[in-house]
Amino acid sequence: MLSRVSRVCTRKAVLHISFVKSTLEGLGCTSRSCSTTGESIFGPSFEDENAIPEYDTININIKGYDFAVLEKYARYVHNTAENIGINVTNSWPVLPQASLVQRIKQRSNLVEAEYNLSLYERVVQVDKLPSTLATILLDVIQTSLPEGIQFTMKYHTQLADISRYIPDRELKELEAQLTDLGGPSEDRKKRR
Amino acid sequence: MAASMKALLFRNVLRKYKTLNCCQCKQLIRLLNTNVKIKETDIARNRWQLWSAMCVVRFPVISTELNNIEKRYSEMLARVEFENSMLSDFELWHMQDLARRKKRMENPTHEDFDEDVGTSTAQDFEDAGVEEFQNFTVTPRTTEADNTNNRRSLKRKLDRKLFLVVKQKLGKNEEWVFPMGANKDGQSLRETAVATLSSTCGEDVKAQVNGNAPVGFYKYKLPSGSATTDGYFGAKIFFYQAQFLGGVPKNGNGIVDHLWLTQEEMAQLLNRKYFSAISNFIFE
Repeated sequence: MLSRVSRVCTRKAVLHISFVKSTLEGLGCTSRSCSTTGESIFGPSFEDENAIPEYDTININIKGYDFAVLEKYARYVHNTAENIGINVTNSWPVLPQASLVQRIKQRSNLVEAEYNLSLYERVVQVDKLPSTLATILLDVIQTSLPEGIQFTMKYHTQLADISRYIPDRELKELEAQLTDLGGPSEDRKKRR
Repeated sequence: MAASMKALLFRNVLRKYKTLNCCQCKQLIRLLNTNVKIKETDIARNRWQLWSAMCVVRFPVISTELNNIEKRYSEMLARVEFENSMLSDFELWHMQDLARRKKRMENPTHEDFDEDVGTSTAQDFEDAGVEEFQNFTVTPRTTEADNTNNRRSLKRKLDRKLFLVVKQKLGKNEEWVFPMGANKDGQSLRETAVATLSSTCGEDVKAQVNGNAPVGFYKYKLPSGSATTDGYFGAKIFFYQAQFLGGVPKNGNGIVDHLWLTQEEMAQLLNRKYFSAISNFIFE
């Protein structure tokens, strides 16, 4: 009973393989390998011709004055991108830009009201974004944009990395003082 | 045996039997090896013309109003936040003012209170703010275009997405569609879409295309028996999405009329199958 079943199974399997092989040969694909992954011990792997073109690292900058809304929205963008299947590599905050707005009374220099505003910013970094999903992601972000929030999508540059650092004011002041005094002392230079 | 018949049989057999047993396999191999005379009509029947359509969207200008549940929930959250919060600078200032005034009532001639004459209290500050708010006029959410229901206007339904729909002449009939045009050899689908928009709606209309990949697809089979020009079986339409930047569509260059419609209005006006293809990529 078992032997008979096994024979039927193998016959089916053999026929299936031969049928598949004949069609492959018909198509002109002669490498005896797993065609989906391209791995082969007999020859080099071929790149997938139908691969969807992907973008390089992209930064999505999200800016806004309302902190609670901005934070929540940045989190939403991050989660949505991940759920769609996009590779989100990093997400970080950027130093806020402080600005002082003064409302001056008409025809005088008297300050009527003064506002201290901070423009907060969050960045979500996305890598290897397929062009098919790029249109969808852009549409989703734009559609769900809350009031008072701006967003831009740019390629990642070194400047973006540098802008993350908070400048050490004290250190810069000391360095300026040193250059005023004439640079580092020569004894120090000789020792090095 | 005709190519299409072969393809049909092949597909039907495979559908029924996920793997093939001996007899069916032999049958198939016999089928595939028969000599076939391919007729000219067969080639024509398999040719599809490629078209690109542009879905131009005017994004919402103002945010949507909260519905009933959202309003009540947000009010509740605001109350909870208020109860849990510390006193703000303004509230402390006001409390200090009240305490100071009480002391002054008890002891009016004390030297500490001589400076109080010119300073503004917290209450003054609040009153000034309230007055400013009352003098401020809020622009209404519904515009004139809303009231007259002018569907050609862009100022209608400021909290919704508006899609550009044109009445275009396709063959004999005039249909309400997104502006679309045929793809020429050597032109990418996106280029076709951009060129189509300017050729049908005029140079004035400016739109920023979202990306290189199309967002939607619609297959239109020409009705059987109709005289097919260039022997095409039908058309395959690829949709590109673009954000509207400015300009007014001009009638005459292939379009007879244009409208800016919301999703529901499009469902009523457009062809049912066409709309179901569109609704796959439209969302709000």
